[in-house]
Amino acid sequence: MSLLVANGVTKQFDGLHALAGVDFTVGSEEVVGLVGPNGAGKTTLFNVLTRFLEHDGGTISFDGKETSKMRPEQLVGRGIARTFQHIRIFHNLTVAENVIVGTSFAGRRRADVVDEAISLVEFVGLGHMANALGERLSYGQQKLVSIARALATRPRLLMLDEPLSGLSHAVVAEMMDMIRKIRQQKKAVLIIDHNMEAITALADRVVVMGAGKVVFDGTPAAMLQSELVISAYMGRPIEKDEN
Amino acid sequence: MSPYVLQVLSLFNVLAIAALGLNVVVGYSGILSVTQGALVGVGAYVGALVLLAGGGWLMASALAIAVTAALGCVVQLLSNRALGDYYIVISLGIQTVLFAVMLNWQDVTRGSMGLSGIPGIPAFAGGRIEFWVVSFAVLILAFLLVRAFSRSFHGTVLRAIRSDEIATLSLGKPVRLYKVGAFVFGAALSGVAGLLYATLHRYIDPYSFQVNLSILLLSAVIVGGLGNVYGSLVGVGLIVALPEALRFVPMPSGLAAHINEIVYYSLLILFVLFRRQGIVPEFGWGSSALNVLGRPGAKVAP
Repeated sequence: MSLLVANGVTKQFDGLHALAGVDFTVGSEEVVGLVGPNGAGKTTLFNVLTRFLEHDGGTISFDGKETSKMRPEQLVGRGIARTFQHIRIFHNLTVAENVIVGTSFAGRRRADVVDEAISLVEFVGLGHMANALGERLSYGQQKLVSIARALATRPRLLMLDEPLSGLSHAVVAEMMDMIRKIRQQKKAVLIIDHNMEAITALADRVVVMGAGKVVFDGTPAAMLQSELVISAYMGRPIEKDEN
Repeated sequence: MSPYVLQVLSLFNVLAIAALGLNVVVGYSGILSVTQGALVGVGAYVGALVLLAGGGWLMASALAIAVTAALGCVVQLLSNRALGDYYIVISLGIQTVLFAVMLNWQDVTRGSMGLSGIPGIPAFAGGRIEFWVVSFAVLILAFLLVRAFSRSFHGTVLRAIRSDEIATLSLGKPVRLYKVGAFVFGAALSGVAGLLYATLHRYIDPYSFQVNLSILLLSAVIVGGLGNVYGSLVGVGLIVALPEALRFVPMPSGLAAHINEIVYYSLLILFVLFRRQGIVPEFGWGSSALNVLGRPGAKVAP
């Protein structure tokens, strides 16, 4: 059964069709790659799915429930968490505090909340930096913290916006290992990224967007063979080799 | 102790209570409010009117807190969507409206004539030393409350909101509710400070609660150190002590008040330019940051 279902979702900005009827699903425990050229509408779709933007038309449901009346924080409570392309770390909080903000602490013992946060900080490999301020972290470390604090909300669907961009090869490999571990926790993961090698290695299914629409939805292997996908990425039709 | 020193120390207690509340609003939540002076005034008028009507201290305290908290709730609900510059404009507008009400609702406030003959604290015979003891006890209580709140997980969420509202929302925290809660808390402490102000001076008029008071409290919080509970006390200590110290500098009496303002606001400009973290920085001594490897309040790693 699909966890997240989008049907004919549209969004305009001053007449520009950022989303022009997106049909799209993410299944439980599925890893889906969302790719496409810049301006294809991927981040807009993320913002609409997480209710940071109102969509103009179409329907979105999560776990069988229509989400259009929900506020972003309510959607988090139902099990959707996200990270941002521009990381948005809390620079004035420590690593552990960044994660604590994501935890649910109502009615829980203080020590339990702290233990949960510490285990997540250790999960992303930053246990030794639990007390370091966010502003002191490197770019890669900030990305790790943003994932740890999203996990603190105990999501069923984790949406990662360009988790691999700007990272060195070594850190990309570490991040990919971590995403695999998250998957083993029986969570669905939706990843936007331009690193096609990583996406094909991680994803069960790849959704390709172009000009606000889904132009391909299939396995990574099928995507690599798709002329339509190459066309969408290159911005021009594929020319046949005449020789 | 001389009556003069007691008066100064009592004024410190009253303003420090208001500044502690403002630090929750500005320092922890990042809501740049310039309404706090008027809220102190509302607390002062509500408390004074109840006392003058023979309502007793308990009722005066309860109503001063309840009315300012309710007003704070309305103010923040009205301005919750506004951010940055727009919020300051709204906040300034509310300060001006509240001052205008205090000045023009003559049947209740007696306008510019003010309210006089406000009763002191009966249980202690209303003397200066007794007032200082009571106001100091209230200050300690307010300090402990704010410190406990700032070190709670809810305090951490407020500091997250100050850093990035969108990111806090993405983690499932109801940002607007938190901001309203912080403002209500700050307003309630302003109400307490207002009641104490009225009973300290036994007389109030609207001119004591103009935007100058809001800016004075805001400066105390900024100069003392935003987001550090000790910073509010240090900042208020400075704004209370500086004018008193300048009294002893020989200068023409007509100039003293103006020079006092020039020195004070020059100091404020210098702090904003060269020491934005204030005298007691957020992550300095007594920080609210949670040290997960030690105890709350311990210094975080650099």
